[in-house]
Formats: sequence, structure tokens, C-alpha cells
Amino acid sequence: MRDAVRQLRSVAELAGRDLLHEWRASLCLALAIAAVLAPLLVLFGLKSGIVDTLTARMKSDPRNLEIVWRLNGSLDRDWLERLRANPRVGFAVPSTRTLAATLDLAAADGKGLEDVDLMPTDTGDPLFGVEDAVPQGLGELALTHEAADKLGVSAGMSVEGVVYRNLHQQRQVLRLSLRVSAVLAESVHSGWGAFVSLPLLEALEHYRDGYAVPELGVADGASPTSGASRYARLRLYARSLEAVPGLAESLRAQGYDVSTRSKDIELVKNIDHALSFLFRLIAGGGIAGCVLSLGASLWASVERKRRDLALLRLVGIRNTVLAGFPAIQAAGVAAAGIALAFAAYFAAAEAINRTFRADLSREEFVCRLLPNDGVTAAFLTESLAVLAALIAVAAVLRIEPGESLREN
Amino acid sequence: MTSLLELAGVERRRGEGEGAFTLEVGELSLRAGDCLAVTGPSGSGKSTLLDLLGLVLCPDRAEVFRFLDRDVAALWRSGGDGGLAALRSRHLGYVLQTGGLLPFLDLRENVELSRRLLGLGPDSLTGELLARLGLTHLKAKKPRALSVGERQRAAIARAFAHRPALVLADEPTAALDPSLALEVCRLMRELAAEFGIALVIVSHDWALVRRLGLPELRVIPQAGTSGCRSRLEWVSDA
Repeated sequence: MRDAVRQLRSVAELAGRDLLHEWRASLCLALAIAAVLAPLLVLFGLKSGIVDTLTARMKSDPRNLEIVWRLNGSLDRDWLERLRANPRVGFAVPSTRTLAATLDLAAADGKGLEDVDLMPTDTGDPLFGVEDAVPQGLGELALTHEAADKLGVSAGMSVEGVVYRNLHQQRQVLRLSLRVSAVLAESVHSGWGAFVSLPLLEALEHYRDGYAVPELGVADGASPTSGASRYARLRLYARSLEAVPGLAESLRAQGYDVSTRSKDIELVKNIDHALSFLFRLIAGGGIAGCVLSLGASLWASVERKRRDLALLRLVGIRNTVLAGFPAIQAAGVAAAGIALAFAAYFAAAEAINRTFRADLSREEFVCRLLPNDGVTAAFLTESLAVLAALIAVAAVLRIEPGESLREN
Repeated sequence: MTSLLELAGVERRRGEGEGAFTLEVGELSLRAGDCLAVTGPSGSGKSTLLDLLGLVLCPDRAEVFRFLDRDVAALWRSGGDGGLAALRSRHLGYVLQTGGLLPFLDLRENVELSRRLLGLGPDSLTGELLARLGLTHLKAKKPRALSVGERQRAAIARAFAHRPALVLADEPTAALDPSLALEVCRLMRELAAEFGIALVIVSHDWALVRRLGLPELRVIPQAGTSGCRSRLEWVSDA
């Protein structure tokens, strides 16, 4: 046993010396491996990079979490509470009407916007960034980026909200001073819009409907009917992208007509599948060719060195140990090929990411290989190289020590 | 003194068709330090004899085949390469017709190949062999940088470096010019005598063998009913 280990060490050393001695041929083999492996690494890096970036973008865009009510329902409070308790639900705030309530807005310097859509909001609204304060109570609102831009206001400033109604055949005007609690990021909502708390939205709707609204200081009008209010629709967001399809499906099963951006999610999944398929196709072809050519080269090398190998048998190396000679060389060549391939990959990935830098945020990459995938690629290459050496190993096993004694 | 090598009733058939022959070793024994030359016409079976003695050719039949008190016939029958490989590596040295050096090792590493494979440390013998064979200044050179004569001397140093019990030389001078050939054979004989190593030189060059003055064992082919059979015969000093 100790003999075998010592012999194996000697064979490994001799195999290495032979590779170095024929360094030109060894380099060619390593380059052949790198020539297949490097493009595969780049391709896989592109696949991971593109899919990861698209997925990250989708995840970071709350609109992809939204489940949109297409028709009015009749939703009671109990149902809403049960829905909010559903772990797949990230955020839900009801609104009373199908058509959004609107409000005219005017800034201090006279700039104004008419018929700004009002949307309900509440603490935890995914459209609000971490630094955006959600409007509370009856005296605050949040503006979309475009609306704030048009009004020339920013968070902390005040705007005047103006609502009209016709009551007793006369036109009435309600003016409210509203503090801008936040201006939402441009990417989360396009168009003019304002987010207000549900109580303010309800109060404004009551006012429009001709009721007295004491909380806004309006005494004129009928007293609001009490009783459980029912809601027509929801602003509903799933907790995660993965929860979107299931949640939408369960709502559809309850008879609600809802839609999601699942097509976008599907698209990314399809891109992932398509790129994976392409990768497997190209990898399969390239690797098969590479394994065959490496196998043939190693075999030819063994045949060329038959007498040298027979000499090693003659001086006492066992055939099973000597069989490791081409396998060790394959592993050595593969290691050099892997090093070259990774060097080429890093250069290519850097160039690709630099080219697309303009379209990417700082944490995004078009081409990125995860460490795990890199290690797997290296391990697979080593295994396949040793596998490719099997023909050569079989050839070594057939070498007789007597072959070294004279030329045939 | 006990025998180093003992053969009796050993047979081996070689070749196909018309060139086929059977080498028959009636009785042959060799003691430690013995030197002998094997001669005979080409195709008679000299190399077959050497391969049998070198433990690289399996005998078809062997009544007795002992080397250093090990039953070689039994080792062949057991099939595994391990026992024979161990005997070859420790106790045999081979000087090949040509080459016998690994191209990727330098001369000194080639000479020490067997020692290294056996796990033996460096030995003053290597240096002494290199000096005796006039190779000291070439020890860092790769074989391809050496002349044919230098390579042959290096191969001799390699065969002796691990102090084997028996060195087998198969036409060691075939590639050398006659004056060099005699010099090389004398060197081998000297080395063998000095270190108590038995030496078997196979050569078709009868004149050379005579001049060396070695006991001569001739392989004699004889046509017979069941194909050509070769026997061994000692040549008495005439």
C-alpha cells in the first residue's frame, strides 16, 4: 500500500515533468479547453446576469406586485380583514368608488392642476420609499413625481385642494390646506396623482355626494348614513413576486376579475428558460467536441510514449498505477485550461459590463458568474477531462514492460 | 553459495507462422556476481531468453523458475503484476538496445529513476557511476542533448544505480562503433565485478564476446517435427 502511494506520487511527478517538457503541446491542449470553456463561462455569465438583473428590477418595482381590480365588487370589512391576514398579501387598502375621486390642486405661487386622481393609501404602501412619509389624517397628501413637478412643490410644502359640489341648486366650493408629506419616485407611478388617507378620501366623497362632513367643517347637507360601508375595489399588492399568481388565482376563484403583470414575470421566466436551453445546447456541443479531442490527443500521446511508459513498467511501476499517467496529465492540462478560461472570462465580463454600464444601476451586471457556478464549471471540466483520459488509460493498461526492451 | 537464478524445464513459444520457434531452457543457474554472454543467430531466441530472465515474458511451461528464492512461475500464474513488478524494480537492472532514458528527465534524474521509484535516498554510487562512465559534466542535460554513445553509457549507469542483483543487457552495443562497444562492455563487466552484480549480456557479435572473455551461452536453433526449437549450449573456451 505504501509502495503504491509512493509509486503514484512518482507517476504524478513524472507526468507533470512530461507535460512541462512538452510544454508547447500541453499549452495547445490547455488552450483548446479554454477555447471551449471561456465562451461558455461568458454565455452562462450573461444568462445569470441578464436574468438576475431583470428579476431584481421586477422585484424592486412594486407595480409588479399589484393585483388590479378590473370590475367593481362588493367587499365588506370582514372580508377585507381576512384578506389582510393572508400571508400572501403585502398591502391592501380599499376604495369606495370605481371611478377615482378627483381634486383640483393649487400651489402657493398660483400654479395649478385640475382633476388630479385621488388614490387611497395607508402605512406600508409599497409605492412609498423608506424615506417617504405616508400621508396621515385629513390634512396631508403625497404627490406623484409629475404632479409635484407641475405644481413646483416638494415634500413639506403645502398645497390647496379644491373640491366642488352642487347642492340645493348652487355650486359649493371646499378649500383644504394640505401638507405634502412626500413626493413619490418617478418610477413608481406615472401621471398626475395624489395619495391620501382613506378617511380623507371617504370624507371628500361624502362631501361630493352632498352630505354634511363635520370633520372637514362642512355642516351643510344630509347626515351621512351610518352602517357597514362596503367597498368597490382595492389597491392590493402581493407580499412577493412568487405570491402574485397564487393570490390572483384565489381571488379569481372567488369570482373577482383581477389582472396582474404576470406576463412580465412570465417573460423573464421564458427568457431564463430560452437562455438556459441555448446554453445547454452550445455547452453540450462544445464540451462533447472538447472531450473527444482531448481524449484523442491523450491517446495519441500515450501511443507516442509507449516505449517510455513501458520503461516505467520495466523498472517496476505497476500497470494500475501507471494508468494514472494520462489521467494526471488530463487533470493538469484541464487545470491550466480552467485558469486561462477564467482569465478570458473576467476580461470579457468586464468589457461587457463596461459597455452596458450606461443602462445599469450600480449594483447591476449584464454578465455575472456566481462563485458557486464558477466552482461547478471548474469541477465539471476537471471531471470531464479525466473522463476523456479513459481511452488513454485503457491504452496504458495494455502496455507490456517488455515493449521497452527493443524497437519493434 | 545459493543460486541467484535457477531455471529447469522452462519453455516459451514465440512468433507466428514460419518464424515461430520454441525456446527451451533445459537447465540454467546463475550465482551472485556471475557474468555471461548469450550469443546466437538472429531470430534464434536470445531476446526471448532475456525477456524470461527479465521477468517480462511469461513462460509457457516451467518446472523450476526461481529468482532470489522466489517462485517466479507461481508469481506468473497468480496473474497480478505486483509481485513481479516489485522483483523487477528492486533486483533487476536493464540496459536496453537503444534509449532507455526518459526524454523529460535530465541525465542524473534518469540514472536515479529506479532509486527514486524505490524510495531510496541519494547514494554516492550515482556520482561514482557518472564519473566512471565519463558523464559527470553532462548530468544536467536532457537525453536529446546527448550523443548516442553518451546515452548508452547513461542507460548503463541507470541499470546499475540501485545496486540490483542482476543486470540484463540486450545488444547494448548495437548502436555503437566497435571500439566504443568493447569499451562499454568492459565497463559493465568491471562495474558488475566491483559491486557483486550478476551480468547477462546478449549479443550477436561473437568476436566482441570472445574479446571480453566471458563465459558464452549459445542459443542453437534446430528444425524439428513440431517447428523450430532452440536449445542452450555452453561454448567451451577454445
